[in-house]
Amino acid sequence: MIHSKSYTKQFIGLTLCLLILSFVSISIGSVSIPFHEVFDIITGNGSSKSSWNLIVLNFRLPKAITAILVGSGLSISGLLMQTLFRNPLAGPFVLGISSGASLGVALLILGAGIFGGILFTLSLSSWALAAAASLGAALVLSAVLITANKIRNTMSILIIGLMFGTVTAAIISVLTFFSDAQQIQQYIFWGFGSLGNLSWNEISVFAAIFLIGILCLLQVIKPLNSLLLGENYAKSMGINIKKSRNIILIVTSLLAGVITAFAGPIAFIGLAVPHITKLVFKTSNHKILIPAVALLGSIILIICDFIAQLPMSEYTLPINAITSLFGAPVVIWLLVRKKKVYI
Amino acid sequence: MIENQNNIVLKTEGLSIGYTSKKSQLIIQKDINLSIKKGQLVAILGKNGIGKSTLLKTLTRVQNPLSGDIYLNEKKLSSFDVKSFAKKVGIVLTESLPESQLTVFELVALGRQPYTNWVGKLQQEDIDKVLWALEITDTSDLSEKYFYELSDGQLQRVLIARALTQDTELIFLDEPTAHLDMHHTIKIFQLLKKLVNETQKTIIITSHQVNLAIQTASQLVLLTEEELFYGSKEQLISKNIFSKLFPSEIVQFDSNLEQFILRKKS
Repeated sequence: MIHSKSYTKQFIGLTLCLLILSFVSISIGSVSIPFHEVFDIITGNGSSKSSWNLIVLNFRLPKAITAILVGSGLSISGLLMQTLFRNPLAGPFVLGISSGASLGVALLILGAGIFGGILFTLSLSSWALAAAASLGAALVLSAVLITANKIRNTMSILIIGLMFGTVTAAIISVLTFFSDAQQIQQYIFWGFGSLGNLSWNEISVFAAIFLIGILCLLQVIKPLNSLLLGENYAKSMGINIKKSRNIILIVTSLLAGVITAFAGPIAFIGLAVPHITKLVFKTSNHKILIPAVALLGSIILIICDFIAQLPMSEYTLPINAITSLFGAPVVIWLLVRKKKVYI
Repeated sequence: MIENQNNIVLKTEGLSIGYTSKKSQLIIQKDINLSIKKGQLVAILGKNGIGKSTLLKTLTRVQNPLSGDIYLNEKKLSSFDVKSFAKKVGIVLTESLPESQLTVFELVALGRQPYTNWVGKLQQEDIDKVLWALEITDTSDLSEKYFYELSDGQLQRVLIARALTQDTELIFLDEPTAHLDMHHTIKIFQLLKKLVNETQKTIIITSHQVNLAIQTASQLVLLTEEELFYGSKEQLISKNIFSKLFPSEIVQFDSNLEQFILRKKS
């Protein structure tokens, strides 16, 4: 029928692209492993070389999975924020979620330097960092949620989120002022973002929270589409605005919070991938957009990670710098060509 | 005179509308008693700031009444939950839509939301409703376009199609001809008249197109600073009520032409 465009081709193409890229990213690195060996290792048959087994199963595979979770999660959060606020500049971090997470981490790392003691021991553990980031993100988000329920105007929530972000940034700079170089360096390294270094234990916690977020997300696909016409129309079509808004905010904070906790504040993906997807798919239907941004987000992050590893060298650049360096020009180019952004 | 109670879709009793803040209440209109029958085109007229939109917003539950009651099919308006209200009342607003990439078909199909499942999947019945709404509003050939490609007149008809798809007894339109030229304004009024005649829906609009509304609507609600008047064109003319709508030094109502005309300078 004429009225329902089919995106099957695009989805098959993107899925293949993601699979191939993940595969390539697992086999290439400081040690190159042949494709068929990688395939054997992943399918459980094992490789002739035990070191290859170790590299693939304990480093590269977890990293690829992390990249997929981070890329898709950030892109979905960005899409949700852009639709909820009907603002193309919104991203997962506009609500102050990343600032909250940064504050949690800053308090732990920089506070360790100032107060020492148990904090110092904690600041060396990745679990404690993740917990601090999640707590910070959750704290800022509940503050935003509480104010959101008192305020009818969604735009005000956006501004309040930005204000929370400014306040946390100010607290962090005060903490930095009183900290010594070593702590500041540790904090800055966290801020670079990192997809590696996650153990299988950490990944299973990550994936579980991610899954909870996605399950909640399924409930708001219909409200998201009606929000495209604005809140008044959405309400007139039987949508419970307050409930939907809360679910959208919770999903965003779960996804963006857990991602920032485990991978650091990764910039650009959440803002840009939804725009790239909308330009490619030319639709605003969330039933199409949600899986599409998830796929494209994963692909783009894997590519960024690949570039960050500086192929043929032993250096790894901060992923956060790569996403912005390579991403921003792409978005600018796309927008200059198309001249228009859509929600 | 015995009125058939079942025919009355919307009824207000001692309704006061306006705005409340913490300290005070701003009453815009009070003691509104309306009984609107099924299958009528009702136009709410009055000068700027007199409370047309406030009345419309109150009747569609966008804002709460200050006092008094509103009944929809003899049931209190406030007793409907959001979803069952969505199956009774559809709206077309003046606010501009956020810029998205919805096609006309998708936009009109959103009207089926109160009836579709949790992901909003369209069944054949829903698709038929959408196609019918596109057909009757003469927008079928636009269905594959993005809504931002439409002219104001086309977009208005598409928004009316969306409200029709929602399959409600009542449709409220806030100034449906606000940005339209004369040709398209008349086209919209003709469409609304046709819809009332063919579907037996009750359509309530606010409008500044006074002359056109007087000619087209079956019932008129006139808001003035002192009082609210409600009746058919003939009833209102016989009581000489139209002359109260605007200050008489610029426009006056000519009861022979049944129109407002510019007062000639003498």
